[in-house]
Amino acid sequence: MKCDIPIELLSGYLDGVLDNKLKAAVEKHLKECESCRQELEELKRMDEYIKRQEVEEPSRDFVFALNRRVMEKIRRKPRPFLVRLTPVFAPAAIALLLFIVLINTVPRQRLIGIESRILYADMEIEREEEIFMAKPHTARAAAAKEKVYEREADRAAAPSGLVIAETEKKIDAVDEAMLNDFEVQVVQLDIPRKTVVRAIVDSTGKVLKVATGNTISPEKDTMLENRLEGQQLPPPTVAGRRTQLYVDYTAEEESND
Amino acid sequence: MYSSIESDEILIKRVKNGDCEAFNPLVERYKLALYKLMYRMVYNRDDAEDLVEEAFIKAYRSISRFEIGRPFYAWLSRLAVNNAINFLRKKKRGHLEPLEWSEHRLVAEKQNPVAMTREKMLKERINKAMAQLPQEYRTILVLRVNDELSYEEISEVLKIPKGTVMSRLARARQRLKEIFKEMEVHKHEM
Repeated sequence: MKCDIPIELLSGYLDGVLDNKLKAAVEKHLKECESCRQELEELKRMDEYIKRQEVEEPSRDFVFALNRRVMEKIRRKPRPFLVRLTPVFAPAAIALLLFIVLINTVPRQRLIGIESRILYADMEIEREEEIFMAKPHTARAAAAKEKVYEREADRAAAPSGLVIAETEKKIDAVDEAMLNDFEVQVVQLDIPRKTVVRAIVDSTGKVLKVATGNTISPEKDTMLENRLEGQQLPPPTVAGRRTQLYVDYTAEEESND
Repeated sequence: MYSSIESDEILIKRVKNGDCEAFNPLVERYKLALYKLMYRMVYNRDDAEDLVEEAFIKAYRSISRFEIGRPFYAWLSRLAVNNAINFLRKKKRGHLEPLEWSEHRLVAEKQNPVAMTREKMLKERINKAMAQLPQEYRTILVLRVNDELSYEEISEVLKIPKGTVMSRLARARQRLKEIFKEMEVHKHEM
């Protein structure tokens, strides 16, 4: 007959951990229940088996040298935390150092950014002597200007606001031909006055991006960009090296004098 | 030099006061008991020996956390058992291979072949059955039956409530009985 006494009670009884009341109840039940007596005997047999479980003899080294090994290790003072981390962080620190050195020594293509722009108003560069000037294409620029003025002459008003004259004074700073061509390109578009036109010109002289406005993030002017994008200007050079430039052009009111 | 009759408590107080040499008698006193416990958990002599060494070093390094007056071996076995459980998890050895017969036992077998063969077969079955037990059942049976730890000590070692000790022990014994029965069935089938 199967008995419904919990196995925990029999197991606890075997271990002698039941309180007196439970112990008496189990003993009373065992007297009456053959099945539970058998179950208890089975559990006892399992414990006997566990006790007879084979354990391999430890090695001679373990028996005779374990104390020495343990004592040697505990006599040694544990290394400070940072020293223990050295094997992990040292390679990382070296890699970081190499990265910093490489990033500062290997020449890389300069990305165009706000720091690359050259304002007409800022063309008088303080360290002028260090800048090698590209030979101004004066004839070409003059021809382009004349062309512009011819067109403008047809209009009631001249293209006042052009800062070409001012540009000529400051031409010592940046490649004149490229800037003049850019002026010509912009003037031909007849853009509203007092508009700042900004363009990114790559090192081959090709106009990449065009926008308007005098803020950090100029507004995109799709029409203007469609007209100017891809236009070929003379390659800009600064200090004798071809470079990308971020150029501004401002059409200002022409002064009466 | 420390006498082997000095109590655990006196030795531990000295260790806590910075006298590391007082730890040596504790290693001597408990290394074999701890080896048997570790062996029954991992069924491999080399692994068991390494685990014993690690347990003693961990015990020394965390001796400041040991409360004087508590049983040292229960605390030491807790460290060792937890270490062994982590070791088994890393090695993914929930079920273990029972041991192989070593050379000295084979020699004894030759001297009294009938008795030794019967004994050998029974022990092989016991080891196989134990190896088939889930790791938490095997551990609790070893702590209770082999190491004769009380329910309170087992509760402390395994960090489980006393009631769970009782129910887990009962289930472990039940499961071991079932495994033996299954092995009997296979034996008769063969």
